[in-house]
Amino acid sequence: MAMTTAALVAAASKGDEQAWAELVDRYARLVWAVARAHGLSPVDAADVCQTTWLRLVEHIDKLRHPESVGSWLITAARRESYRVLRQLDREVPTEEVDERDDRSWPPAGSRAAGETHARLWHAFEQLTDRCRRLLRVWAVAVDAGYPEIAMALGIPVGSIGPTRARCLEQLRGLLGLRSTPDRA
Amino acid sequence: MADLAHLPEEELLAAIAAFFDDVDPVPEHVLAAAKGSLTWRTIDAELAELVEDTALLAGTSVRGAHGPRLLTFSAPDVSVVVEVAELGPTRRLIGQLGDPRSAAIEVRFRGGTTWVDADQLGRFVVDGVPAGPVSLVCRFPDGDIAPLVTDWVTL
Repeated sequence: MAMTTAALVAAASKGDEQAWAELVDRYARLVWAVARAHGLSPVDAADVCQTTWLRLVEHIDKLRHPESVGSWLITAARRESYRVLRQLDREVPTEEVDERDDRSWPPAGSRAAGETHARLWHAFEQLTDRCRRLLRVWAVAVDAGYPEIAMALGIPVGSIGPTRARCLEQLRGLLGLRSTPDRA
Repeated sequence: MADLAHLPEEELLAAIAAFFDDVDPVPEHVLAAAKGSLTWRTIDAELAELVEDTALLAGTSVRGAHGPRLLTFSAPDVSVVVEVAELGPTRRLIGQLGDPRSAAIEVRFRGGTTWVDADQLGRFVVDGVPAGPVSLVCRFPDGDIAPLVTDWVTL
């Protein structure tokens, strides 16, 4: 049976390597997605991930809400991404993610294989930066709360719900366009 | 499978997650480093959290005319201020303990550690720290205060 997140945190804080590895497996995609959603290159995103996980190691026995480690990781990864952006001396005029230069799209990996992924690629390519980032983080956010996801993306918490609905709508629209056989 | 555009929300999000696993996966070395990071855990030390970072001050540019990056770490007993200078792929750290006292400083970074002594005024300098995550552990020979470990930060 899968251990709860809180139980994994408790075990890892006592030095249990296996529990720690499982925690990493559970949240590695989320931390990576947050760093990439800030427009960081793979090299810079790798630094942010490493710093974030190391920071969790020193904080793991002090977490106030061990069951919410996903939210803690989002916050830590966002702050660190922001620091790295500032170090890169890039213009970061506001905390608004939309205004940043996006180095995370197109992805560094190979072009998607299979029809489903090819269609998602095509749709994501046409999405706004904000929606691309929001849906990417949301898809792997496991059990993180709305406020942390909103913060990770620089979107006011009051508008994260409507923004998310709009982005899903936009994606469905783009996918729908492609799904209609073009016989004209 | 139902058409992608009409999948229930949960399935659509799962498809997006699988898509990014395909086109922009977490690199293997990132995963391996994350799993190996528990070995860096310090047990006896007091955590000094990063409370101030001039890189985050509005309107400053790190490489501009506003001077070097200053990091302030704070714990209940002691604080430490570190000035960071960029020298190509490495960093020079110039530190000052809030409490003027000698200490043995362990500088931890990706792939290793190095040691440096803080003088009686609590000052230390260390060169050649590789860019990337860095944390300091300060041990005090007097023994009346617990060792200090700083938050990790990307330098």
